[in-house]
Amino acid sequence: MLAEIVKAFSDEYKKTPVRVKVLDAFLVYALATAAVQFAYMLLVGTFPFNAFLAGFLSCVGFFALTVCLRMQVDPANKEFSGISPERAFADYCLANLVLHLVVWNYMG
Amino acid sequence: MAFLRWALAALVVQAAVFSVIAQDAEQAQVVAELSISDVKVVIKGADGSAISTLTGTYPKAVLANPQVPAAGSLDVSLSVKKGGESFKPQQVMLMLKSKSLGLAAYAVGKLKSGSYSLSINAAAVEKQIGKAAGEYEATLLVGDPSTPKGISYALGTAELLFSGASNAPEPAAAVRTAKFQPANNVKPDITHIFRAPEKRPPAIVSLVFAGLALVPLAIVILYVPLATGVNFKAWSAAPLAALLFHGGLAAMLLLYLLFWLKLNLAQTLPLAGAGGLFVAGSGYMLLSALSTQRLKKD
Repeated sequence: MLAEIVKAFSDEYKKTPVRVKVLDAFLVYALATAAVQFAYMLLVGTFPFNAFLAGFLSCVGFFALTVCLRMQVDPANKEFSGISPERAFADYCLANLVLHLVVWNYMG
Repeated sequence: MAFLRWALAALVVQAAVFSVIAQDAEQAQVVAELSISDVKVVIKGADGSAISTLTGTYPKAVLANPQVPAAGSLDVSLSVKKGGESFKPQQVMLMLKSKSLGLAAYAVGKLKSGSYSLSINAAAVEKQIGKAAGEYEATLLVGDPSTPKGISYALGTAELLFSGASNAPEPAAAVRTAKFQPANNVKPDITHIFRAPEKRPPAIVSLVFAGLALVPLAIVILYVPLATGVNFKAWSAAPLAALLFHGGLAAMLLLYLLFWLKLNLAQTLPLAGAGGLFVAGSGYMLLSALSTQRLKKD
């Protein structure tokens, strides 16, 4: 039963556009990196607290920005049909540059 | 001109009338003058019994530097009259002025059955000006706004003894008047205290976690080309713009690295602005090329 569900999911997922798959990979990447930092915080401590916050929140911010981009470039999502994928990507680049300037500033 | 002359004459007459009225008022006030009588100075011991009792006649001093015991007190009683009648002035005070410091402590008179009584002791002096053992000039002050002159009766000097316990060495703040605080009484500088560094884990632990944090990145780099079928076909749409755009993004990331390592924010922001403009321009070229290519295909 579970195998069927997984198979159906992977079959359906193969139909998604390439750029959405890449964005999904980035989402998982951001989550996994955040999880590693969170595990370090739990096991070792928060000592350079600003560095922990900078690293963890950069992952969270990157995740949120990528979710927004994914919503805008997904052809199945008609809500953002007025925004071209190129325009959405330009916004994404700008937002990421600003986010990471703040992150590097806070990292100290 | 005639009008002006009349006005001037009127002013002169007015001034003359007022000056006459004012003189009358002054003459009327001279009549009521303050006077004090029955001045009695009592030095009391610790048990409240009188050690010595002196009778004073204004303006002759009565105190010849007697000692006032630590727990004892200096009591003064008097009656006040104005123009020969019993009167209640606004101020009746006994001032004790320290000869060494120049500071004064005061006791306020209390009216009781027609005569005022004032009492001051070492504890009250200490409360007002701090601990200053030694000689004090005692002065009786009587005043009221309805009379032109107050009375300042110099009673003489007395030596105040402070209790043994309070004679013990005390910090410099014994004299509680701002004027007498030392000029260099400056509070220490407040400096920011950083969080004390905690014990760091062994370097190997930090390095392992740094490696773990990089593992997802490695997986992305390996997985994305293999599993998603990502390709570089769009590169040919605008090769120069694509090169400039990605080079600009890399330069921005390099700038952030430099910002972390050596630059400060004031140096970084202009560079980031310039880099951002470059990235925006090249990105506009690249993305509009991609957009026209996509629309043509559709």
